[in-house]
Amino acid sequence: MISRRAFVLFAALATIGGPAVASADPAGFVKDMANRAIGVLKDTSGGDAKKREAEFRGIFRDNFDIPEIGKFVLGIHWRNASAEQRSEYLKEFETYVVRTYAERLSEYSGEQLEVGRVQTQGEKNYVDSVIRRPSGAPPIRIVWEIEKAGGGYKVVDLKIENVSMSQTQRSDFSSYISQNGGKVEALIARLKQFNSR
Amino acid sequence: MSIKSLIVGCVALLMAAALSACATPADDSAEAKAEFERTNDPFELPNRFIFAFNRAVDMAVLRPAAVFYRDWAPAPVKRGTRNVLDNLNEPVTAFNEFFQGDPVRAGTTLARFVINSTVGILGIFDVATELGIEHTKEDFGQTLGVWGKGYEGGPYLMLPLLGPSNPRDAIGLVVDYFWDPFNIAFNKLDVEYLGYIRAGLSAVDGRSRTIEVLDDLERNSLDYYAAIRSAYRQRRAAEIRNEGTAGGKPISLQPAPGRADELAFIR
Repeated sequence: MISRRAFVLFAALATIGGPAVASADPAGFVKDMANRAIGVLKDTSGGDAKKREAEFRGIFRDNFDIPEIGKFVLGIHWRNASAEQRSEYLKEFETYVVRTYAERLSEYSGEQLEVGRVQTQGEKNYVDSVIRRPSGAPPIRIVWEIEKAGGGYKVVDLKIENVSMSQTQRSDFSSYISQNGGKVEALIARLKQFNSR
Repeated sequence: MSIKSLIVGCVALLMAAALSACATPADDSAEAKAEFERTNDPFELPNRFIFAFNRAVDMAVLRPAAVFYRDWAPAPVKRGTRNVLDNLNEPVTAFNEFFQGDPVRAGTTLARFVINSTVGILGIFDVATELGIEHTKEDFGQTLGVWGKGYEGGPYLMLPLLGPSNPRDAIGLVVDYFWDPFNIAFNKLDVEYLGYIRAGLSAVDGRSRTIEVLDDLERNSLDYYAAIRSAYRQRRAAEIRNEGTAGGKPISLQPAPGRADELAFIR
């Protein structure tokens, strides 16, 4: 039951979903960046784990819009937070989010990501991709939500098997805050504790 | 106690528990109310209690069994088991595809069932997929979702042993149980134990495929209960729109009005 408009859009965009040559298009951007990130996470036993982590963090910082993600994830509490709380939150959030994405993506380390169709809506591009598992397990679908930033693109969300990382974290944080008297400080303290793990 | 009475009992219990304890929004602001409606979990207290119970059962029984199965069962055995379980599910999928207004898809699913049950030797081998007839899965919760557009399923319910749900999907579970020809046959022929074996294998097989994902979600969430609740809603919404899997439909860009689970797109 694809609507006519969506179908036309899909047909139009299917043509640019071909093999990527440069990161000038959304599909190429995702393909390059994701395969680099997944490659870094590849478990080379004997390799330097610290160095790998730093490398992943670098890729993540360059290609993900962390403040935008952090703002969305804090949801309704962002508006009520003071300037100091916001900057402190974003600082802790960065460490937190790098780690959660790294752990989630490391499940697919060493596997190749195939980029499929691209959909565009306003400023946003949704890049469909698939990771095929060697074990014969069902392939994993990942949709990358990316926005134009400067000369290139930045990732703002990942939907893994249709579960949005940002949306899930937002519900998680919101629930944690309301369980703790509706205070943002409680969340920041918890993130600190989490990050020092 | 049969599986049937267990399922019906769980659903009845939950509906009763659900009516007895209600949560309220954090404060009176419009934003807090919107957030509260979006969460749509008025029975959070009993739900969390049942979630704790389910996790205890999972830690003590299901997860260890699933880990053992993942690590020790030979790959062909796992593949064959999954194929047989999927095959037993095809008639229910076909009914639901028919009632979702897609008789062609229902026919294809029935063709898969016939091919795999015969050439595929009782469903052990998924010959149909190799012939290019792809596997689909639809349940009655999804059928209700297709017809009740804009209805996102109702308040969140955590069912004992069966996990995350809502009234729509709980009703779906009951309907799918009753019109499943294998359940009918097992009950008629007094071989109910086959139903238990099937349920047990389904649980272990299904759990063996979510070990890494759920471990990861638990480790990296501050409130695991809330993370599961959100993930469940998002997944079900996508399954109803048939966007669930690789090669599925493109994701919807415009949130349907009133679909709380799609607010992610609004910002």
